[in-house]
Amino acid sequence: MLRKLMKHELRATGRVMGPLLLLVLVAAVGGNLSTYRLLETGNGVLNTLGVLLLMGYTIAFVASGVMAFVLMVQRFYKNLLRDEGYLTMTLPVSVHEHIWAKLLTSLIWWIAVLAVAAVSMLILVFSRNMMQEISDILAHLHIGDLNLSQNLPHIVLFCVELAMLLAVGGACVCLHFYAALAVGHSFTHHKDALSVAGFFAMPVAWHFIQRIAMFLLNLVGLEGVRLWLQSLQPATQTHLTMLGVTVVTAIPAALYYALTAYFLKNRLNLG
Amino acid sequence: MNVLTCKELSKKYGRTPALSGVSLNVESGHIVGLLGPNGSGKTTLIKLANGLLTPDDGTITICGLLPGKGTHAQVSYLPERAVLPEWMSVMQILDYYADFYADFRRDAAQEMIHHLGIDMKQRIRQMSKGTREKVQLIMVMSRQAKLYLLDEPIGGVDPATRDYILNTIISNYNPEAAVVISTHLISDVEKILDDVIFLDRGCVVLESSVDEIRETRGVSVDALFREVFKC
Repeated sequence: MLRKLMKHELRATGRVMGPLLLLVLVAAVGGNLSTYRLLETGNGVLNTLGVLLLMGYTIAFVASGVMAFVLMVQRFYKNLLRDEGYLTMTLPVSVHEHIWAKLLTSLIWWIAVLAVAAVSMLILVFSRNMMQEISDILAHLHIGDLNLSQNLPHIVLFCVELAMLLAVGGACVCLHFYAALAVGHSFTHHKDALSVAGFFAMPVAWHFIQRIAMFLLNLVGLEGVRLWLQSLQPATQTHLTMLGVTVVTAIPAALYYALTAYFLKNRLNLG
Repeated sequence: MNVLTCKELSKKYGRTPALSGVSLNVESGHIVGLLGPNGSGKTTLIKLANGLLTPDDGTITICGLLPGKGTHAQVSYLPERAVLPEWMSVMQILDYYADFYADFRRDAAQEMIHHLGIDMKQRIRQMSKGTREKVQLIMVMSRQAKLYLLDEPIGGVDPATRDYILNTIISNYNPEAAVVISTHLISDVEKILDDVIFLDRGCVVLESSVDEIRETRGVSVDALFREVFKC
């Protein structure tokens, strides 16, 4: 059922995000034309047109990111907790499947926004000389100095760890919104206001829990772990630090997930 | 066989009680009118049966199961409001129901849509209120469910649409299933009801068959309703 939920979720969000991401790519072509042609003509009208094309690209670029964020919140709120919730929350699927469908769809669009941002920037700076410039840069880069054969596994691993951290961080942001909305909408009155209050209260509570946890860990010898970490190779230190940060990010994400699932399953209160 | 069972079911909104110790049974093969004035707790009871609200006390079960994923596959629910996503076309809504409900009869739904002359590519936002309600009802009644929960299916529509809705209900429901129709427009639904449950201020004040009311009291359900709920 998760696959089916995601199919309909992607259909609902894709009708907004698809054209918007396409617009970013088209605007990047316009921006490239502006940078390499229109702004170099010295003609006032063409210069103005060039500036407008660059502004159009910037607006489309920012709008795609903002819209991916807005849709993440709006789909959870409107599709599960407002009128559409009467249809969605009576489907024969579990609460967990609902949460995962929303979460994975949001992450897919965030990845798509990042990918389109990278491609659009390449389009924006693309020129006939670009390939030559890149090969020049590579020619002057002393790969041997980097000891690539030795560092490549670490670089690849670091990239994987960074991707994991970004995914967990993104999930944490989504689940923070979901938990606040699920808790706020379990009340009979002032649902939206209580959701906002919950949104700000939850990180405060997490910070408080973190402080207590750190205090307890210090009591049982966190300093020893720190010293042990410092004695390791720099590359190993980096990997372990990345792993630690990911785990520390995953803990509030798991708590927000548990809160969301509990309130949707046991305290649903569609008004 | 009892399809819907409530035992001492209670629900409050803040301090205001919406249902107080409601106990009732709905048997399969019966069309039951859940009747009561506005604010009597009809919608609350139906929402509880769908798991959209959680009870403060007591239990509600459908075919012996608490409301949840298992019961959603057996209950076909028509809410009292428009809930179909406005951006969806009729075709997309058919896909949606067919994807999630194994008991959805797509052919029957398509035939009813075709009969109404609605374009499959037409979006919900392009439809009139009456047409939206008809499409929503068609989707609900195209399922072979064990329990149909219809919340105010004829509220706020013209008499011709009311007739269409009632005809759609009686010609499409699964005869082995139970149908619960919540309404305060008694005269319109009386002719299709087997049993009635009167709710007043969150309490069951009468649970009887329609024939029994006519035979023992010598009045119609509509007349009895007006007598019981006289202001």
